[in-house]
Amino acid sequence: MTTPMSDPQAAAVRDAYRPGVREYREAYFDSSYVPADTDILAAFRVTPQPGMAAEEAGAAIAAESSTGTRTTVWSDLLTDLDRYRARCYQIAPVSGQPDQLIAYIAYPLDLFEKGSVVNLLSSSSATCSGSRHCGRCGWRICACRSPT
Amino acid sequence: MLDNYGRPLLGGTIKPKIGLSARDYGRSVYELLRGGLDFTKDDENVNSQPVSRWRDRFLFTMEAVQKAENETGERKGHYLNVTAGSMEDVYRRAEFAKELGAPIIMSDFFTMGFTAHTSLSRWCRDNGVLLHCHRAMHAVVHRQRNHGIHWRVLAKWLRMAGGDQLHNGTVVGKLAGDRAATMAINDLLREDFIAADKRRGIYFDQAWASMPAVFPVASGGIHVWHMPELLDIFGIDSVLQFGGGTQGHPGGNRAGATAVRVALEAAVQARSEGRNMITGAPEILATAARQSPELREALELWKETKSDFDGVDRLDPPGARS
Repeated sequence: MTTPMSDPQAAAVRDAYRPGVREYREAYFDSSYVPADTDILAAFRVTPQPGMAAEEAGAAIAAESSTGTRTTVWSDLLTDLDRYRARCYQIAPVSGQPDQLIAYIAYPLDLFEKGSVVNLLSSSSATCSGSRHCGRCGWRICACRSPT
Repeated sequence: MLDNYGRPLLGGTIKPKIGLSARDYGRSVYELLRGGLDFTKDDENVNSQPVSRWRDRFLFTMEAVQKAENETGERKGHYLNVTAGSMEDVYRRAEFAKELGAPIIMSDFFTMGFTAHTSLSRWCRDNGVLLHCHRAMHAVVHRQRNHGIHWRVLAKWLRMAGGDQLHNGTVVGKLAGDRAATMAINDLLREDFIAADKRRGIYFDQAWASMPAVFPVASGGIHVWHMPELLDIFGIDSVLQFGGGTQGHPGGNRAGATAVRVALEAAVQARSEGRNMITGAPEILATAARQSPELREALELWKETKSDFDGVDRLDPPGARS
C-alpha cells in the first residue's frame, strides 16, 4: 500500500503550503508577470522599513491588499490563489530619494465588487495601511488605472 | 445577548482574504466556531465579489453559525460585511442578515464614510443587531506625525457615530501601535470619564455622559504566544481575533481555534489569580499546553515569529512640544 502524499507532485503541493510565516515576496512578487487588460493597476510610493528588501515591501502591499495574510493558511488550498492574488510586478526607484521606491501592483478584476467605489478603497488601503511591514514612514497611492 | 462573561470574546477573520467559494467559506466558519471561537469575520474587502456573492456567503455562513451553536450550546456569530457601493445596497444586505438571524454585522466605517456609517448604526440599534466596525484606511490619515488626524480622534468620532466593536490594533502583532496610546484609546472607548494625561496622549478630559461604549478589538498577526500580554493590554471587555493564528495551525481550523481558546482561558485564570502576564507568560502557556495537544502544536509553530520592526506610532516623550 503506498503511503499517502508519496507522489512527487503531491509533495510539491504540500511543500508550497507548509504551515508557517513566510516572506511575502515568495508568492506576491513576480517580475515576469504581464498585467492583463482587465487588471486594475496601482502605483504605490513606498518607504520600506530599514533592512527590508524592495521586493518584499512591494510584495507585502500586494499581499495585504488582496489575498494574503501574515501566516500560511491551509485554506489557501481551497481556492486558486494564482487567479486572485495581486502581484507586485515592477519596482522602480524614485530619483533623488534612495530610501523610496515605486511599487507597481496589478489586481485581478475579480478581487473587486462591481459598482462599488468603496470596495476599491477598502481593498487597496486597508490592512496594508496599518501594517508595520508595509512601509516605515509611509506609502502613497500615486496612480491608479482601471480597465476600460 | 451573547451569554458570555468574564473573558474576552474570541474571533478570527476568514482567510484567504478573497478566493473561497461561499460554500467553502461556510465550512471554514463552522470549523472555527466549533473549535472554540465566538465569532468569525468577513475581511474588510469582502463585499460581493464574483467568487462569493453576498447572498450566497450570508446563507452558507449563517448555516455554519447555527450548526456550531447547536453543537456547542454557545452563542456564535459571524460579522457579515454589509459595506456596499450605495446606501440602498447596505440596507438591503443588513436586512437580509437580520432576516437570517445574524446577531452581528460589520462595516468598514471609514471607507464608508461617517454619514453612511451613522445611518447604519442607528438602523442596528433599531433592529437589535450588533455592529462591528473595521478601521480600513485610518492609517492613511493617521500615520504621518505632522499631518492628518490621529487615530484616537477617529476612534472618539466612531463612538459618537455608533458602533459596538472597533478595531484598535494589537501592539504586539503585525500592525503598528504604541502600548500606552492603545491602552488610552481602550479607555476612551469603554470608560465614562477619562482624565487628561499627556503621558498617554490624552489631551483633554473627556466625559461621555453615559454614551454607549465600544469594545476594542485586537486583530492582526497575533497568535497564542501573545495571549497573556493581549489580555494585559485589552482586559476582558474586548475581542481578540486570530485569523492566520487559527487557520495557519497544522491541524486545521478547529485545532487552531481550540488552541486559542485554551490559551485564553488559561491566561484569564492566571490573571484572576494575580500572576504577571508578561513575565509569567511562558509558564502559563506551557502549563496549559500539557493538557492540550492543539496548543502545544500552535506554540511550536509560532515560536519564532516576531513583528519587531520599530513602531511608527510612538507618543511624544513628556515635555516635548506637540
